[in-house]
Amino acid sequence: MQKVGVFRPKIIGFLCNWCGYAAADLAGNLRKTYSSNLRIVRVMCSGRVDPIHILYAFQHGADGVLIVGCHLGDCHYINGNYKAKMKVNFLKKFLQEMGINPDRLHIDWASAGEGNRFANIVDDFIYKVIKLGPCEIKYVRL
Amino acid sequence: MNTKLTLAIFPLIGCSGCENALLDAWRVNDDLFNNFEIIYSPLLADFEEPDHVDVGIVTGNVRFHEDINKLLRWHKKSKVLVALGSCACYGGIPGLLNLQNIQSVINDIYSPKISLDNYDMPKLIENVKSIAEFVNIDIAIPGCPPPKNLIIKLFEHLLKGEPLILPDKSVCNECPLNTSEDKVIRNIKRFSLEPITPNKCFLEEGVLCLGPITRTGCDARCIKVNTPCRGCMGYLYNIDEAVVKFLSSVSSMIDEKSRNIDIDKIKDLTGLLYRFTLASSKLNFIKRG
Amino acid sequence: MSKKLVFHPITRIEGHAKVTLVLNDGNVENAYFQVTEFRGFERLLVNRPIEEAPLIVPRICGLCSPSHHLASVKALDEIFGLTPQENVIRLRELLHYAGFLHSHLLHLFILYLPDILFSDIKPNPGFIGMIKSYPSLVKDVLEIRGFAQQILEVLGGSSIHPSATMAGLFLNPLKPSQRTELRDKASKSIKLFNTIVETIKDKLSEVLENSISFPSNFVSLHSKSDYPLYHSDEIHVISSKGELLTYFQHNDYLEVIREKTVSWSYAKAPYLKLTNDGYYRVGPLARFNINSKFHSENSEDFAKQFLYNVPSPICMSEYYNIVRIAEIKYVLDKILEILSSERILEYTYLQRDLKPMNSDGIGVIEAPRGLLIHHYRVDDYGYIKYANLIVATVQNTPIIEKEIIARSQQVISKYGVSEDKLYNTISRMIRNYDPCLSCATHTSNIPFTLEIHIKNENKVLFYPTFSSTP
Repeated sequence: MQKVGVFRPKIIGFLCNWCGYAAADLAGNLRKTYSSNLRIVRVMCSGRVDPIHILYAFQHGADGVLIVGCHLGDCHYINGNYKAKMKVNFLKKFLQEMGINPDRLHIDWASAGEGNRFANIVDDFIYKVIKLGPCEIKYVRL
Repeated sequence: MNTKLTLAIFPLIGCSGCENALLDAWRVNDDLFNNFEIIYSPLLADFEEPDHVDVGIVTGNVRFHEDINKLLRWHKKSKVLVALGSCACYGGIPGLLNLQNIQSVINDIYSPKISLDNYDMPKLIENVKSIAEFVNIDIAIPGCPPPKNLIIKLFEHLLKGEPLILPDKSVCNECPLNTSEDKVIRNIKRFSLEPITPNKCFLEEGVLCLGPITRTGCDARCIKVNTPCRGCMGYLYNIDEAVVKFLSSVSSMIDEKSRNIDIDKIKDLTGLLYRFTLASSKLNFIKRG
Repeated sequence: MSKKLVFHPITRIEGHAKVTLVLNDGNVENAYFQVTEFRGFERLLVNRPIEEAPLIVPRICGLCSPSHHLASVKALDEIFGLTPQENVIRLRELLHYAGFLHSHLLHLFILYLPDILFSDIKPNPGFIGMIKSYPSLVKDVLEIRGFAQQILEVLGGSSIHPSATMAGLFLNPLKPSQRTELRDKASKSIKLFNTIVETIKDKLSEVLENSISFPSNFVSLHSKSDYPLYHSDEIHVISSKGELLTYFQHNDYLEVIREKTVSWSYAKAPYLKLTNDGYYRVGPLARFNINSKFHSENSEDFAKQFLYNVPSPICMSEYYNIVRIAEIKYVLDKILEILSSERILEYTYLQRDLKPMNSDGIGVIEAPRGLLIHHYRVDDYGYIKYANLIVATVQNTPIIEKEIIARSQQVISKYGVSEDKLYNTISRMIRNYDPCLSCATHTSNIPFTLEIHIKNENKVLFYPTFSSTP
């Protein structure tokens, strides 16, 4: 049961199969602890993440969305992560106009060998979302 | 024997442009329209509201509480209910006011102490809504204004039962501008404030044009006069899906190596992407001021 | 005992309105002309890019959309510090005149004329009756209207809500073949309209039946060399006696015209700051009273027969319709004149990098229904921070209200309290002004002291409530 007064944000993470997800795997193997609020969705490439997925997450009660892909230039599919970055930039503008704080959406990079970095990214992001509080919009059916 | 189909034009809150478009279509094709008899239209005649009507055409959007009652009444009266124009179908441009708190808009003009009740003024509802939120529409003809050929098709359908299918292709299919193979955006520009190459696709030139997601049928009339599409015909998919698809496709068209990309130039995405359709969006927009 | 009479809806006008009469022992105590429509364009323009304004504002009104489009483009010209080329102005004028033609014809022949043709039929069958009883007249009128729509389609893309002009530019140059086609149609339309006027000439005396002189101030654009619809030297204000009260440049409009809100209508009530009885009329009658000369042969001929023999300034609202006919003739002549010169084809479509030069842009134009002011204030990047639109109809509403009282008093003293007679007289009088109520309803952050004006049963109160500067 959730304790009253404690805000436990729901974070959806879209992790790229080749880097982000592998880094999460490695973080586990390394016995790194990081916050358990992250629900992971594995996608083949960060470029696969459609803005509709992100909006869907927010409309269904997510407090933050994290996308982790390969480092820029290292994409398994040549330029998928550049596209993801541009999409996030556009979507941040759109979220702001909708009234959602654009900081709730974050894109970052971690290679398959950076388990520690991944754990830090997640912790930093979750700390930021906790500071922001619950998402501005209530649950709506899309 | 009276074989004429009866027709009623029910106006909600709108600009009368749709009635005007109807008159235009009438002029072009009066043989067809002679098979119909207008029995109610406050703009054109003083007739009393009828009890039954074969075809009820609703124009405009829902803005007041009394509009809802009117709409339900009209729905009951008409055998076929047609939503004509983007206001009726999607809410139209006045729907952009949904981004703002209506009470603050009202407080700007009326002191809160004074109510409009004393003078039997209709009361505003919080959000502009399209008529589809309240009644089942049998036929929807979008467009601001609805294109002549679609209106003529509508009446052919009503008279002869010819199938009425809205085109399921995008405005790009009718667009006369030249496109290149690779479709890359190298620069983001504001329409008419920065020079663009004439006769080239607006999107490739960096001006956001809603052609790719907008339903055609309008003959690309704005693009033919060198103005980018603003989506008055409504979208090919579910509105929010289309908007997000547009965002997604534009962002993947951007050339990542170009240094001229300055997306801060785009400040009003909602006003652009939801120009005519905000009232029908299922997304939850937080109201400003 | 006071009694309320409500006439709802008022038909054959653009938009929704009702009239409430307060009667007391057979005397008309008060009248409210209530606009039951709300649009709020001034608020929804805020935070939008300035270059989108000309694409949004035409949607204010389906009948005078070209006027709104051009007024906002004129404001944009000012914001970007541009003086358009001669040919750009010619093309814009063509668009404007076509809009005039289209709107005036609709009002006169489709909305207003049935009042005269079917004055004894109840309910008035309006346009539908005209199709049945006067098919050839309707056909001719629609043909000229079709010509106007064709111009709008060729130049602006769509006959309603055109979209072809932008700051300093006309985006869609005219092609030679289009010019010759339109020119031929223009000369045909002039002939056709002359024959239409001949056929309805004998009806015009009926137009003037029961007219009463109702003095008021008049405001319109003024030009020495032309009958000003698009371009002007300054704005003139004259009194009911014809003396020039003041004149001003368009960017000083706030010094002269103020607006207040009334609690019985969604429309505001503009008034002149300088006079006690500050209400004024705009529209065809004001334009004629102030300029008093059409610079075109055709309409001069018509004016000689019907207008010049009336002492100026004309204060009878029935004359709105007569001036409208003269204006249609003037506009047709002008269209032919523009299309006759081949110079409008010599137009290169030059695009430049534009940055906002001025923070404020005010576009003033004569719309079919009168003076139209679009005022935008933008930030450094060209996003609208504040918009104020003063639309033709809204300026006439206070006068309409006063005239309702006068007219219904006249009817009651003649026929007693007959609802039918009252409704006919009032609605016909309102129709003289050709009110366009979807235009009339706007709200905004008003940059000056706001007065809430309450009409009580007996007295009129003024409360200054707050002042706001955007």
